[in-house]
This record gives sequence, C-alpha cells and structure tokens, in this order.
Amino acid sequence: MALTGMQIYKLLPKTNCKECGLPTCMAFAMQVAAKQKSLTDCPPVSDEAKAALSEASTPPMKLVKVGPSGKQFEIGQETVMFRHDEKFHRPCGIAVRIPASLSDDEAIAKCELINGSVFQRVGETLKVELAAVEVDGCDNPVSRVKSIADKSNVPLILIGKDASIMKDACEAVKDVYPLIYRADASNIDVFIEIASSMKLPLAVTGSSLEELSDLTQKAKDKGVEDMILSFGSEDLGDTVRSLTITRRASLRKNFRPFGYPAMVEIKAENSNDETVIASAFAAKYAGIVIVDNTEPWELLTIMTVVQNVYTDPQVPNTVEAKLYEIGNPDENSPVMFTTNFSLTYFSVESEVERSKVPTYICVVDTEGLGVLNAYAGDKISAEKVVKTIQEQKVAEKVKHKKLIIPGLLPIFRAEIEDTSEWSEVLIGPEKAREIPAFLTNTWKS
Amino acid sequence: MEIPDVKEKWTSKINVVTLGATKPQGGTRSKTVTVGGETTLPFITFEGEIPYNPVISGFVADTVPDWPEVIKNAIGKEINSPVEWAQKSVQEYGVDLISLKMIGADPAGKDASPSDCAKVVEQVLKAVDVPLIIWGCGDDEKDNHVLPECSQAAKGENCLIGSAKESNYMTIVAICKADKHKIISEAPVDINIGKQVNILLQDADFDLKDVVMFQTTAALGYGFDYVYTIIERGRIAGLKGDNLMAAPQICDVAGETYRVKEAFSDDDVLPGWGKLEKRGPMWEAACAEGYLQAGADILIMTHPEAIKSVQNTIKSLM
Repeated sequence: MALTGMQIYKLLPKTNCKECGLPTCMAFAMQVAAKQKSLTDCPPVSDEAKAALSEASTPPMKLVKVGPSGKQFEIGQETVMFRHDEKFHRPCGIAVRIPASLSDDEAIAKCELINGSVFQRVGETLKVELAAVEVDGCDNPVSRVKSIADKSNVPLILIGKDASIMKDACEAVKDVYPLIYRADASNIDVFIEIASSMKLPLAVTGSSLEELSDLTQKAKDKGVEDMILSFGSEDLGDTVRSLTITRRASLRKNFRPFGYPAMVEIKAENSNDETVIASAFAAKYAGIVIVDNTEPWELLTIMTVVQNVYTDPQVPNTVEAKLYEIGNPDENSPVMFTTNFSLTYFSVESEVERSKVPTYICVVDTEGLGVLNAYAGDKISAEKVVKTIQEQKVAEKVKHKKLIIPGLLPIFRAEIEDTSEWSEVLIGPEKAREIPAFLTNTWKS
Repeated sequence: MEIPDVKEKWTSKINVVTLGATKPQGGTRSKTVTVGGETTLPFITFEGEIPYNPVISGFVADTVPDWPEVIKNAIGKEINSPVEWAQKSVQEYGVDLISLKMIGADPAGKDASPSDCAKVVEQVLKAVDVPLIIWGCGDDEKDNHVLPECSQAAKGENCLIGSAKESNYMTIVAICKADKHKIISEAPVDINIGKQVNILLQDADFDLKDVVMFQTTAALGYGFDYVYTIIERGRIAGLKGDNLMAAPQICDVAGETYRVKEAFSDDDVLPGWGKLEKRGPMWEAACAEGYLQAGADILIMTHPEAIKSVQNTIKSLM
C-alpha cells in the first residue's frame, strides 16, 4: 500500500539538509509520495527507512506468472474489492483438468481440445489459459507431464499431493514453469523445497485460513516468491467468504500471507453446475478456476462472464466505426446507422441477426456514447452521419436511397434528406428489441 | 497466524418485503415469499445476517414468447398455456413464485385486451398457490389500461406489480394502493434514475418498504457488467444507510437472455460455439448466478436446467 507524504516524512532524517536538491524534508517526502523522486535521492536516509518504504511500495497482491516466458499467464496485483472502485486488472483464467484416469492418448486428445478452445467474441480472443494435469495416479507421471508439456499451447498446472511424484514431474518440465498444486500441511516441506529450488510458483491450500496463512508464511520464509491461494468448491458459501476475507486482508490490511491471487478447483456433479459455479467465482474473486469440461457452451459462457466483469468500467466500450454487413446484405438490403458505443452496437447487431433480414449497419464514431448521450453531448449530428455514410461508401453498396435512423433521433430526418443523396429517411424504432418487427414489417412494406 | 479482522460495519439493512397473501391475510395463497433483510453483502454471513434466501421466480407469459424452438421445447407444450406453464414451473421446477408477463398485450403484437389479461391473472392465481409477480407488456400507454385490470383481478393477493417508471408511476401507485400490491420500480440501467424513481414513489406517498428495485436486466455479454455493478452499488448504498436504495432487487434474466445471439442462434449460425440446447440455458444460468453474486434477491428464470443449477448453488452458498 503506497505511503502518504506524511508517512514518508516520518521515515526521513528531518534535517532539511537539502542534499536531495529540495529545500525541506517535507517537500522531498511529498515528491517521493508523488513518485517524482526516489528515496535513494536522499543520501543520509537510514536502511530501516529504505526497507520500510520498499515494503510499503510492494503491491499488496503479488503478480504471479505461470509458464515459460513468451506465453506466460499472469494473474494477481488486483487493487480493489469492487470493480466500480477502479477496475479488476487481470482476467480470471480458466484451467481445464486432464485427469490421471485418462489413458495417454486420451490425455493428449484432451490437451488438443484445450488448445483448440479459442473463441472470437465481440472483437476479443477468449481462450482456455491453462492445462491442469493430474499427476497422482498416472501410470507414468513423468512421461504424462512431458507429453502434455510438448503438446500444450498454454502453461501447465501440475495437480498432486504426493511429494515424490511431484518432484519428479516438476524436474521433468521445470523449463515450462508449471504451477505446482496442491501444497497443504501434509506435504508443505517438500513442496516448498521443490518450488524454491526450481523457482516455480506454488498453489497452497489450508484446512483453515489460519493454517493457510501459516503455510504461505513458511513458504515465503524459505524462499518461495510466487504463490496462489487455493480453495475447493464443496461449500460454495464458505469459499466465497474465504475469497472475500483473503482479498480484503491483502488489499485493505496489507496482510502479506494472503497477498497472492486465488484459485478455485471446481468439482461439480455435472457440467451445468460446473458452468454456474465457475461463473460465480469468475465474478468473485478467483484468478484461476479449474474445470473439467471442454464443451464450447460451457467455456464460452464462463469466458463471457470474465470478459464482462473485467471490463474497465471507466472506459466506454467502443466498436470500430465502420460499415458492418450482417447476414450477407445485397443491393436491396436496408441501411441503418447507430453509435460506436459497443453496448448499443451489439444490441442492434443482435436484433438484426434475430430478424434474419440482411442489413448494413453504419457505425458513427460517438466516442463511445449511446444515442441519446451522444446527441446531448454533441457527439453526433445529421452532418456527421452524412459524412460517415459517405466515407464508408454505403451508397455504392445499395441501389435504393432509404436510410433507417434511430427512433430517438427523428430530428435528423429533414437535414439528412436535404443534404445527402439519402432522400427517403425512415425513422426506426426507439428500442433495439423492436428492430426485428420493424425490419420484417415496416421495411418490407 | 492470526488473521486481521476485515469485517465491514454496515449501518443499515435491506428492506424486508413479503409477497403473497394467505387466506387469513386476505388472499388465497398457501404460502408467502419473503426477500430482503440483509445486513451484509451477498453470502458474507460473517459480518451480518441474510435472513432469507434469494428466490427464483418462474417466467410465464400470456403468449408464447418469440424464443428459439429448442428453448420452448425444453419447457414443453405447457408453454402454450400460462396456466399449465405456471403449474409446471411450480411443481416440476420448484420455483418460489411466478412472474407473469402480458407480452400479448403489446399493441405491436397480439394487442390482447386488458380484460383478457385480467382473465389470465385470475386463471393463474387459481392454478398455483405461490405469490405472483405481474408485468404489463412494456408499452406505457397500453400498460396503463392493462395493469389496473390485472391488479383488480388479483386484489388482496399482495402481488408484485411491474413496473413503475418515471413516465407512469402515478397509475401504478394508485392501483397498488387500492388493491394492496407491491411495486417494482424500474430504471433504464442508471442508478441515479433508479433512485429518482424511488423518490417519486415516496413523494406519491407510497411506502418504499413495499418496493422492489428493477435496474433493468442485461443479458450476459450485452451490458451485464453495467447491471452487475449497479446492483452491487445499490446493495452497498442500502447497507450504508441510503433508505432510497434499500429495496431488494429483481432481475428478469429469462426475459432478456433469449434475445441475444449466444442464446438464440444454434451452431449452424455460430459454428464451434456448441449446441444452443445447452448454450442457451447456460447463458441464462451464468447470467443469473452473476447477478446473485452482485446482490439480486429475485431472479426470474425459465429453462429447467438453468433453474436447477442456480437452485443448487443457492443451497450451497447460504
């Protein structure tokens, strides 16, 4: 947690020696707080002060990286409990389990399914971020992890409790920096040794929060730097509460033993429940969720929850201002315009798709504002609409002169008709959901 | 190691709202449903109380909604009759109450008459013994005729009537006072308007303790993040003592989900995204689960698989 100027001042010699180039220690402290000066600019400062400041400037939740450089999965360094307080920084990653019960061929097949679980949704790429390989119970754990490490496009989690199996498995694939899971009170000493000697991240679980804090503290004292707090899904309420307590303790109290991202290993009775439970923890507060299923309907659903929750609430979401062709429109297809606020655009797009009427949607750059806000804020005008439609060469695509405008902007009609080739302006519906009826009834007649 | 105390000290509580009226209470319901009363964030029972579980209300409409066939098929032929649909929802899906929407009253659609709508209310009230939520069709002008008749038909049943907006709240206040119902206050994904509508209701002398807030629901992927945050902020404001935001919150997940392409189009249109048969209900369930985590008290849902999974998590979360 960053210190205030006053807190930094208390750490300084308070001699106003001016060696830092500033007239007083107070002025210097203020500049350090504002990150314009560094504590090292103060020659007489004590080592204790340096240590205190360095501790205080360490983020309350550590950034943990899993995987080899170039394709690392990064998680943590979150700063807030609620997305409206700032934003959530590093989207929760989905890990898919490769059970020990699978044959080698089946394990490879599942790994390929994981590699192939990549989706394009609203202009973003969504994918499974990690493959979670169970090692306990495999006939040959070393060859299992090696073959998956060779095949996988994503970083690995190694799941196991047996210390000697884990040691061999880690030795075999340590160059791809897997996350070691699950260290608990029974195996912590050997797991610490593996993690610290091979510099691998370690996921730790405890039978209580007190025990968990003891284990992470012990691991830290013995040189393990990167850790993940891990929880199960047997009692959902208990896990939500544990995730909340550890995150609050870390972010608000700077309690170092909990200053790591969290993971939930989900074990559900069926894929439906798994989807729903993973969605809950994607929102609150898991950095990784481990699931079993690779069905796209499950993964895409969870990924969309993550995508939404990790959207920056302070930045309006926009789509590119260009001409969108929905459902292969032709020269007789309707033309409409809307704003580049993504929520507006995707609502319109979704309803147009639902109508099954191929349509051109011309998107006007309104700096991410919806129709009414854009109009009120002077970000959209009839002139701008006409200009955008010209730039997007819409007239070359169709042989009619009809333009559908949002029902909230009827006032644009006359000006567009008077100042452009779009001589027949149709006032569309006010709400996106009325678009299908409009396209199938009003437009077709 | 001793864990630091991270308990929040909330100063206030969410209003307790009971829906439905039994015989001694002047209605005909065999049970009532109570929501609200929380003195803490969702499921954070170590710093406050959550006296009542979140509830699931079965979506029922007077007319078959324009949902994809596979979704309608999952509900079955009962979807064609509001009475049978409501019965199936209560008996087979185990929903806590029924949300009845008069889609058919829409002037752009079937334009059903207010008295037809009132008949549906009467029939559904007879067919099931759980409390009822009654919505108009969303067209303010038409709803000003539809809702008074529906309200009258359910007089004394302590229903939840939706919805009061800035544009029509006077009518809703009048009928709910006359027929002893409770009100859903609606705002278009805007927490300030949400508060404003509640102020209007209060100024119209309607007790805010009889109000449930509806911040409008967005489907997953289509503004879900906005609504999630408004629900969360609303709950926090209520717990911090803002009486205008202390109402329980309702989400119409079923009504919104099956309009968006992920829950509408099958894999012929969206190749590689899985069968709609599964993707649809999971889109509904994950959306509902998200709002549950944000602080929703009443979730309106429809697909049996979606309802079941969310019911399972509620049990384990409480």
